[in-house]
Amino acid sequence: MLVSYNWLHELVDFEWSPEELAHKMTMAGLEFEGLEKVGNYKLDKLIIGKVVSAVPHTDSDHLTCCKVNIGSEEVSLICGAPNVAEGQIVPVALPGVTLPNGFTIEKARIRGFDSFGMICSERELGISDDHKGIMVLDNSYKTGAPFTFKTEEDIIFDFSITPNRPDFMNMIGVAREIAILTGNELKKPVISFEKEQKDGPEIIVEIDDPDGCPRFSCRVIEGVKVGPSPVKISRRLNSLGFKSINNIVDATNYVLLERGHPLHAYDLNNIKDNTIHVRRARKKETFTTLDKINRQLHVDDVMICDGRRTIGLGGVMGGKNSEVKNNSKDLLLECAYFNPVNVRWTAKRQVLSTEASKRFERGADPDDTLASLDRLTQVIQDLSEGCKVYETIDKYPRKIPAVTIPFRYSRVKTVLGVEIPEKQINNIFSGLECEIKKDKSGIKVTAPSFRPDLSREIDLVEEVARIYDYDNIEPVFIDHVSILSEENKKEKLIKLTREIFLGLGMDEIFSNSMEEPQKYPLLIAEGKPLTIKNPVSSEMSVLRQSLIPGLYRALIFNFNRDQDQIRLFETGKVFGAGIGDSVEKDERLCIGGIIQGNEQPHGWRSNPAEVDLFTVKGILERYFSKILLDNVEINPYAKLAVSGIYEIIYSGKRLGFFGQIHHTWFKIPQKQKLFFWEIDFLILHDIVDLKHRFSPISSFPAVKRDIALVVNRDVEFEGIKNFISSLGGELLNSIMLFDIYSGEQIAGDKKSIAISLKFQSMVKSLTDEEVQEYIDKILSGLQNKYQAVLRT
Amino acid sequence: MDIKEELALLKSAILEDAESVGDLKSLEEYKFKYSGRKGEIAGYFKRMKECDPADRPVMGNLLNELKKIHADKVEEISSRIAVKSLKTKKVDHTLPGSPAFYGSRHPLLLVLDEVKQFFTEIGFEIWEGPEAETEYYNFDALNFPKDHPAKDEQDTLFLNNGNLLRTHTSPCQVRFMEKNPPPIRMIAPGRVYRDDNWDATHSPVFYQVEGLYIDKGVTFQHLKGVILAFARRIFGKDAKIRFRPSFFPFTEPSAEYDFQCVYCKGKGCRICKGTGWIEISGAGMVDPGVFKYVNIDSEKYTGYAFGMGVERIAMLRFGIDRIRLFYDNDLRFIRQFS
Repeated sequence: MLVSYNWLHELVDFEWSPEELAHKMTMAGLEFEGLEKVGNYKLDKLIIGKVVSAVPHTDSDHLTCCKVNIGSEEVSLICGAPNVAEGQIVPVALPGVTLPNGFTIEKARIRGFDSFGMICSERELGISDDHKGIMVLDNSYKTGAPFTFKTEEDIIFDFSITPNRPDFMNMIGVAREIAILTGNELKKPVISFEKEQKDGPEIIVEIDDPDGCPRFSCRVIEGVKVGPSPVKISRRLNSLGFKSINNIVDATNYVLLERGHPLHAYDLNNIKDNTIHVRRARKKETFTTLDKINRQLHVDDVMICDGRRTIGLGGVMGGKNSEVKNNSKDLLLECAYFNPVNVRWTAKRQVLSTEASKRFERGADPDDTLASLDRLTQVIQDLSEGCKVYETIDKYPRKIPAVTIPFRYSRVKTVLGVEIPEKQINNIFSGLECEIKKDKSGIKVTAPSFRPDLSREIDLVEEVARIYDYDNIEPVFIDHVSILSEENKKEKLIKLTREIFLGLGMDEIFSNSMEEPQKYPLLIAEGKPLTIKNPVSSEMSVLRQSLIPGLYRALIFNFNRDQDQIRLFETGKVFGAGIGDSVEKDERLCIGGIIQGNEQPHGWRSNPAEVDLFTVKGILERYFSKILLDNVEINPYAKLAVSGIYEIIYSGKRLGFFGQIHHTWFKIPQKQKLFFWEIDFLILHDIVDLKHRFSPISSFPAVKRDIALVVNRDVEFEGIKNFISSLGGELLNSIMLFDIYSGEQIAGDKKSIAISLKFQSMVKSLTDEEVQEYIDKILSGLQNKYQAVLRT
Repeated sequence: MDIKEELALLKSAILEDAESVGDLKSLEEYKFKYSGRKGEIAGYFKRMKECDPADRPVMGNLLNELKKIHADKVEEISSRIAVKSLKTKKVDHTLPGSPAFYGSRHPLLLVLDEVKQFFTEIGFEIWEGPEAETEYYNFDALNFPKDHPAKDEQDTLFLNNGNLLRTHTSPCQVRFMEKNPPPIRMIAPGRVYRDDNWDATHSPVFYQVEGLYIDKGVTFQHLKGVILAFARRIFGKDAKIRFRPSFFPFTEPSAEYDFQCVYCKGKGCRICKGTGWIEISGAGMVDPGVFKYVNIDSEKYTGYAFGMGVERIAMLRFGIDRIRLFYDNDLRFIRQFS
């Protein structure tokens, strides 16, 4: 919303600098977005020229064909001014320049003569209303130099307006706020005009749809002269974002900017049967609005019709068929109140947000239609002398009642915490043009009709706070005694999880949860992804069902930027239609990771191995041991077309998956292998119990024995390990695999497994003999069960 | 020769030989000569059997003593050699140490951790709501008037199942109040979504923290207090805040709150666009209309609610100028923090 500094000064006295005004308005809820100083013009393609020749047009009595030297070249143009003459120094607007009144110069062909520009009058430049002839400059102006000029200087503020404050969308509304803050008087323009004593032409107004249009007021004016507006008006409209059209349309926009109520002027001669009929649109009805677009209507659209045709899309835009033209003489001026909801939907359906619709959908002032019409009448009479003004016609079938709110002064302290004297509160209300009546428990406040946002006590409390100034409400710190008694286990586990993976050398990432549909096989989520109906882009059209695609994208992003040894993890939600039966259950927190490169960073002393399945398994084993999860099982996941994916099982429940990323899912860079894991945090969270328990530590030395066994190649290690463990008893403290060998020294179908066993007692030092007994037992057991032979 | 004399000679040989040992090789020879399995001391232990049994304890003691003398000498010589070699052999201490992987925390989550830490310290509990929400929780129960332009400002992304992606974390207020009677102190962190294109400060997905405090006697002053305390925690004790009137259907009075620009200390600079203040988010007193939806008596209880944009705070905190950096996951970016 653009606001003129000069205009505000006409409506209220204040001495704030532009910066102060910006600050004060921001602190009143009208957020300052920026400002622009206008009035000093230096336009590209507005050049000082010298008239080299001026020859009357053979085919016209008032046009002159001129050649003008603009420094770099000579241009031909047609001039309509009577005072143009050879040798004059003049301002020349060349094709492409837009003048301060909004008019853009174009190359034109006038009566068989090409015109490449225009010599400007003072009015065309917005300097004054003088349009008797072109501006003639003195000799101090240099031919070919840019023409700079001044008009009235002004500062145009841009404020952003919250949707609850339609009253801020006009100059008087902003000035009212300044008046309250300064304590100065709001100087609304005094309305006066001359009205005919006798009745004007009869106009029949029928409202079929009082819901959509609760009030319709109008007035006939006869004998207007349509023409350009004076520069004061056109310049003001222009600097506030309106294009100057003609004095009548400009007058409706000027009053709209001043008072906030949208107005419309019809050419009365185009209103058939002198009838206005307000109704809902019919099915399949179409209508051409002022912008020349033929629009398909909806049965909820409110239409303004005359006796035969539709002439306006209510609250949004007038029709092409009844617009005011240069030859219009008699007008019907409209000021109506439309239902905000109807206007909002009409504007949305038509994708047509106009100055009128923006105000009606936020709520115009239903009580202001007659006053706005009067003010418009006054402005038109000023601009077009001698026109005849008749009495207004007002149909108000559904009266919108004023809202009276019981108000307790004590509520201010309850909500705001500060004590504000009753007198000060009363002053705030009267400044806001509220009416106050004393009541037993407090007061009754009647909100002005231009404040549809004030309907409850709390709304009034906010007004008090706003005018009192939020800055004057001192911060208070509460005494913080925690209400909580239980720790948040989920938060604790997430925190611990992230710390563990960071410690395991993985970087934490955070990816977009919206992505394009993936080829990645569904592991944790099931079913089709949740699709966004109106996605920002096709790359963000579904919600992720797995963390893996995001991890992959991040890995590739970094790989393509010369990073190597990339190890990433993420904790985040995945989404799946069909996971649960409510929105809450449809989202699952997961933890996932992806790795590439080597097991260890390259150093000058080491040449580490490439990552593989066991690197991931190692990371997961360390993670599970740190969150006290023993006995996690790993099984090949058979449901996929590709092998190399394993499921992680804990007491029958599947926690997640890990394995190698397959090239049918994502493009894998050459010579790279990527490994991933993904765990369903919600399942994990139910299982994990982070209650650590102390176990005693032996103070006696341990005895270590290494054994190397030769077994069949297909024997799985875990079986051997569990078997040894069962034979070793409680003295067998640890079983560590330290070598696997198959090759020359071993028979072709065999492998050698080297294991280190550690025995330790809590109560004594073990002797060699005691340990040997266990070793013998283990070896003979392994021989029986696995045909394992001790390697020599 | 008496065996004792022999041992005396052996002792002086051990001591004498030690003098001529100068390097590791001769040290090995010296060790082998006397204390090896076939060394001279071991030889005498074997010969003990030939001795008079009465002499054996004395001899044993003597031999153990020699063993110790030899061991001490070995120790002495090897440390002498080590010192000598350290002096002569130079280590290039400028070689890099052994590398190891160590992960970095994502800067957004790093700041989120600090936010959570602060609010849990002052007695707020952490709660999370769904990101895919219903129209009811995202708008209706938050007192959004039906068919009001306020809804348009939210730039909502809608889902094909009739729900939507929450445009703010405020639905968590309603969900939490439905399940928990006052007093309430809760923060709800999480992602929110807007139909917005990427630019320097906008993103279609971003991270918010919702705060809610409901009790008897809670006022706007407490709201300002908690935000000020938070600003001080994140930006130091000189941090300043500013509240200005705004509009949200679910709070009244409503405010936008700003932090004083941490770069220019309020003087006005490029970061704060010359205003001296940086907008953080919205806040206000919970609207009685919202209380009605969750059956809390607004005559008995009052409360405040606030939002907080985590990216915004992280950008200010670290001087990051593009929100997109949080979502690119460039390791050269992530590893700058932790």
